[in-house]
Amino acid sequence: MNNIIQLLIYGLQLGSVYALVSLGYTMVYGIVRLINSAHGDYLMLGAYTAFYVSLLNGNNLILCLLGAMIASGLIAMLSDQLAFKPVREQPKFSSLVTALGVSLFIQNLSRALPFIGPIPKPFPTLITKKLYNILDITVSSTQILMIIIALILLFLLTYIVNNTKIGRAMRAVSLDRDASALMGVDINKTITITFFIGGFLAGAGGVFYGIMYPTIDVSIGSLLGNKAFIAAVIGGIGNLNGAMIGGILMGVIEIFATSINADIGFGVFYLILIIILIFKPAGLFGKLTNEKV
Amino acid sequence: MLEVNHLTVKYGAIRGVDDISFTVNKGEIVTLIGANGAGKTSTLRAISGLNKIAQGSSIKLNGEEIGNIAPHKIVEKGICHVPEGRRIFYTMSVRENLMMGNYIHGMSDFPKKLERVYSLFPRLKERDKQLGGTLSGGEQQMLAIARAMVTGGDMVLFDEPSMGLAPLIIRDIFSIIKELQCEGKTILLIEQNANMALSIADRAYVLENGRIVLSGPAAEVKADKQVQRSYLGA
Ligand SMILES: Nc1ncnc2c1ncn2[C@@H]1O[C@H](COP(=O)(O)OP(=O)(O)OP(=O)(O)O)[C@@H](O)[C@H]1O
Ligand SMILES: [Mg+2]
Repeated sequence: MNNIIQLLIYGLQLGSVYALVSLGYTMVYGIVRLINSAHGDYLMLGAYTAFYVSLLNGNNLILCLLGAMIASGLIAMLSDQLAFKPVREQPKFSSLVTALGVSLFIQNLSRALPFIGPIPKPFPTLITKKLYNILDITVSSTQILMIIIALILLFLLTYIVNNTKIGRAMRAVSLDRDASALMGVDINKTITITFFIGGFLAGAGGVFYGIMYPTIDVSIGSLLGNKAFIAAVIGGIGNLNGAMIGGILMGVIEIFATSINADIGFGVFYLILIIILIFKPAGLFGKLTNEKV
Repeated sequence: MLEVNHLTVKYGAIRGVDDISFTVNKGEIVTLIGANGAGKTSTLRAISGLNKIAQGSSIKLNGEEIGNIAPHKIVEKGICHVPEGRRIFYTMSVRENLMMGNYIHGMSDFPKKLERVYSLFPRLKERDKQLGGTLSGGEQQMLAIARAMVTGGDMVLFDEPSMGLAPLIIRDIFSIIKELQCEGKTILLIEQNANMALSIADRAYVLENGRIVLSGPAAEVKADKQVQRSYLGA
């Protein structure tokens, strides 16, 4: 029993990382109907930013997080402005190919850049690990901090989307671009801000990933990105709660699966994806839209 | 107030609107009538910036060219558009829809505007928290109009506000349009219900296949034999 609770906490920790990254996929999909395969690469660059922030300023978790989040957010925004905006009015296929191009570009450029390079780097220890024993269950300070920070970020995002002007504009543009424009919403600005917020959360995901698996290289984005994308699809792509719950669910499931056999972790992702797509094609919380016109 | 000259809207090789010119003077209700596919919606969408206009077209608001600026900037210049098919935000509540209408304004005046549209449409007030998508068709149309009233602007474009509504509600909606005119707003109205539209309009233009085939004071257009046969079912 204790063992199960322990795994559950570990699963929540990993799941909160997936949730942070899934949200970016789902938000960008919601607003521009684009599966942005470059999303994972934003978080990779965020993780490297944290690496250098810690090199310059010591192992300060908050500074590293902020640095990574802002860097990932800005890169996401820049990729929207430079790559996606010019093909916005083109058929969807153009954006999809553009996203693949952006992803390849970021990864290969990073490999060539002297301060990133092809060789993996050790990620700094940003949280001093202390172990606490509560009722025979051991939890670490890392787990507690990560879960709390992730929850704060998820709460903040939900609040922004549901209760602020920009959040309403984001939802409106997702629902009906023309009608939003007629309300005076600047569509391009709103889309760019959505990219920023998605990247911002992914940056936190990148740092947390580095904390859990302390070696980073240029491909961590694709790996984590893939899993987070599947989590977003399982939750119902375009649905924020779906992405959060999907992410956390997949984290927990992965940890339990790995505890049974270390090799089946990733396989389980695809297995669940296939099962969900068969029985609920729109994901757990997605709706196959059926609206009155 | 609004001056449209040589407006052409192309969809690939098709000309949805083909070189039309018309004006709407301050304080007028002008109606565009025409059969399905005549180019009415395309014209309104061009005015509010949603459709690209072809070269040589010109749209002037109070003398200022607005033909090539983004829709959100046109709203700020004072044109608001109640689009064809209502286009309310389905998964937002009635109040959130109205808050979207208020997007370009600060929140300080919002309670007053809310009170005003709720007194005009008590059905919406009762449904303040209900999701837009769960409203009936008529309620959705009221919401679309209320939302545009919150947006404000001196000129209001209506694209078939009576579509799919019961006669009683149509009467209400037309009386609201008339009321907006009394408040000093300028109105460009598109209608399938040509009879109603011609009875409240000052002037009318008849569109056919993207071209204007007839124009004049509403009463004259209403009396035209051809119009009576084609649009008034006489
Ligand atoms: N997005 C589009 N792509 C291609 N053709 C279009 C598009 N929108 C409109 N058209 C064409 O342009 C012409 C004018 O359409 P428009 O919607 O302006 O007509 P309308 O007068 O509003 O008709 P209705 O009374 O049925 O609403 C039609 O032939 C239509 O098929
Ligand atoms: Mg139309």
